[in-house]
Amino acid sequence: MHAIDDLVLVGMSQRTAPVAVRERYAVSEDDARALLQQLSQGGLVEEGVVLSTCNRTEILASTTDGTRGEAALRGALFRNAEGPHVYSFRGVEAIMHLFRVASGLDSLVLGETEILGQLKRSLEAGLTGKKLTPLYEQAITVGKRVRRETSIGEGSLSVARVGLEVASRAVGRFEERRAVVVGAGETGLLVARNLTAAGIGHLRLMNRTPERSAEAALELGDRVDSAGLERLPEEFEGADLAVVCVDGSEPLVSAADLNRKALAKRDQPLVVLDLSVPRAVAPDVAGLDGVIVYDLDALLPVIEEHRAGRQAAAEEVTPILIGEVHKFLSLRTFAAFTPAIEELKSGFAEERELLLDRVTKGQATARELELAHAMERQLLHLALSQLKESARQTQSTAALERAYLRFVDGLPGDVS
Amino acid sequence: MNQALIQALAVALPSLYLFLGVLYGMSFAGDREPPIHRARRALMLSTIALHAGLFALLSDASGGFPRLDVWLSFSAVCLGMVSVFSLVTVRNQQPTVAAIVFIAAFLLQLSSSMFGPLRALTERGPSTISTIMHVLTVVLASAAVMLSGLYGFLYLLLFRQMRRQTFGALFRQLPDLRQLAMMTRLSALTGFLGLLLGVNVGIAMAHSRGVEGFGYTDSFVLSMLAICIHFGLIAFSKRIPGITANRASWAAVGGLMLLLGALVASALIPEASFHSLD
Repeated sequence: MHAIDDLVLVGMSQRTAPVAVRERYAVSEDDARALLQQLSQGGLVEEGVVLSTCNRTEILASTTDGTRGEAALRGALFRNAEGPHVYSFRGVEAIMHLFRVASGLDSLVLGETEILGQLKRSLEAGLTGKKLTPLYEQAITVGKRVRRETSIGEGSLSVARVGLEVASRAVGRFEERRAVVVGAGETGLLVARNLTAAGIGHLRLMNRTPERSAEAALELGDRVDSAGLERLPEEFEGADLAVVCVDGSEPLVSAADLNRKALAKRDQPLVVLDLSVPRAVAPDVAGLDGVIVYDLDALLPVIEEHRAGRQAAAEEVTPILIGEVHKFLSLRTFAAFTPAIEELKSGFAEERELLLDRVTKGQATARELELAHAMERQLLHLALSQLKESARQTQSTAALERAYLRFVDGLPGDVS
Repeated sequence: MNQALIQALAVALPSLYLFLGVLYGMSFAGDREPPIHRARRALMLSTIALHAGLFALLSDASGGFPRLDVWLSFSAVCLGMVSVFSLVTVRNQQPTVAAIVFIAAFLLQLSSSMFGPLRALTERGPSTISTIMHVLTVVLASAAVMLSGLYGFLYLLLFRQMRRQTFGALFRQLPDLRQLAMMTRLSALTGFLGLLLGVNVGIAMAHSRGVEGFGYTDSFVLSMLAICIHFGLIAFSKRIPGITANRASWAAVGGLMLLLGALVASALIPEASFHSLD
């Protein structure tokens, strides 16, 4: 059993880096798999999971040496990144951070639920075994529990909702507007669903794979149709609102792709929401007449306002998180006793047989056998209960609470 | 008695408009705004009634339609502006815009009360139907033009905030860009129609030489034509390629400046007046 400090988490999120930096370190699912393979071949990393969303890129790994492992993870994922942009946690702090992420406490939008799906997918794509799988599974359970038992999920806005709220200040009532949503992934579909719920006049869902957008458009109703990305600039020019949520390393749209004259002649500006990381709309588009562009960083002040109003809900989560971290650590410690327990079990069985032979001279009746087994079970139960209690007491809840509060105090605020 | 009431109202009205501006300005606080919606609406209607009462008293004192000098025109435009605003926003409440409109009303009424020799205004003006129509339509048009300028100004302000990605109280509490653009154009349309009617009635009166003090020159006709075209373009700009809501808003703000400049110039330089008021 390795020390808890060999559990290492290295990452970059909206707390430490603006979108212009984050987009350089975003990792696709395939790249994540390749990276984990490469790291495990080095022998330093036993298990690993990469979580890459719009707001964070993180790797959590079980290493054979925490200090060297941390350096290896930094080098592999955040080569050339500036120090303050990258954070790293070890041991209990890594667990606390993961549980906070799953609870939506570390999200751009407090309590948002998309993160749970993202955690599940990253677990599936990860290089996991008996160390990280239970940790991740418990993190997902914690995420569900805090949303069920506290008010953190109530009235929670997704980034998509916040973006649309901001866009509505320019486009007004969605009923009379034409929108384009680029990307039929989770966020794209969430935006499309929000827009149809708001009664958008017409929505075109565009995707690299037109079949996927066509399928989604069918589910979304009559006012939604679909297309590939071939006529993206023309679709932008004809829309009142364009929302882009795609994965990819290169911008999909730049100022050179768009008709400057047509945009400048528009009566009302085109509002572009770029919810992608890396950004899919080149920064020069914001300089065009008749266009207003918001990326994730631009939405931060509105999200912060929302977050500040829900701080009380965030505080309800603290006791649950501490309890869950305590539970995980106890289980982990108890798991360390597994060989000893096996030894105890076989010792008890051996002793039972010896005693029975000695007392009955090998002529034990069924009743005597049953009695001996019952006594053995009872003694084993007492011994295991004692062990569990010892495991539970290795970390006191009060000490964990202090550690958690210190950890939270040390977290950086969002970059805005 | 009337004189005393006129004086009292002249003093009270600016304060009432300022108070209304402050009450409506509380809407910028968003969720923390106190529950005073009914009280301020009641105060707004009472203030409009009192302001209309001032003109009724003036009319009564002069024994007919009161003669409007430039400073009293300020007061009339102020009344027109708040009346038009309260009518057009009766269904769609815009408390933040109301705050700005009432502050503008306060400034207009304050100028009128401070500089307008109200006691001298009890002289009776020409009371023919065409004169009354001319005065009322021009005052209403000026009020609408002023509203158009204010809405245009707010459009430009919000547009700028959006481009700069700042999310202050104005961003959160003002009506959306489309609504502001629509109100800019609607007010400009009212101003355009009012001017078209009012100025033509005035020119007709001058042409018939039936009313004392009404006359026109070619340059006056040309300038009025230019003003009408200016606001006509704003009013119909949605259908005119190249005149975006942004440009229309700039034009509306320009129109507002022009109107204020013309009113002030008429007050300070009598020769700059469109026509003799004596």
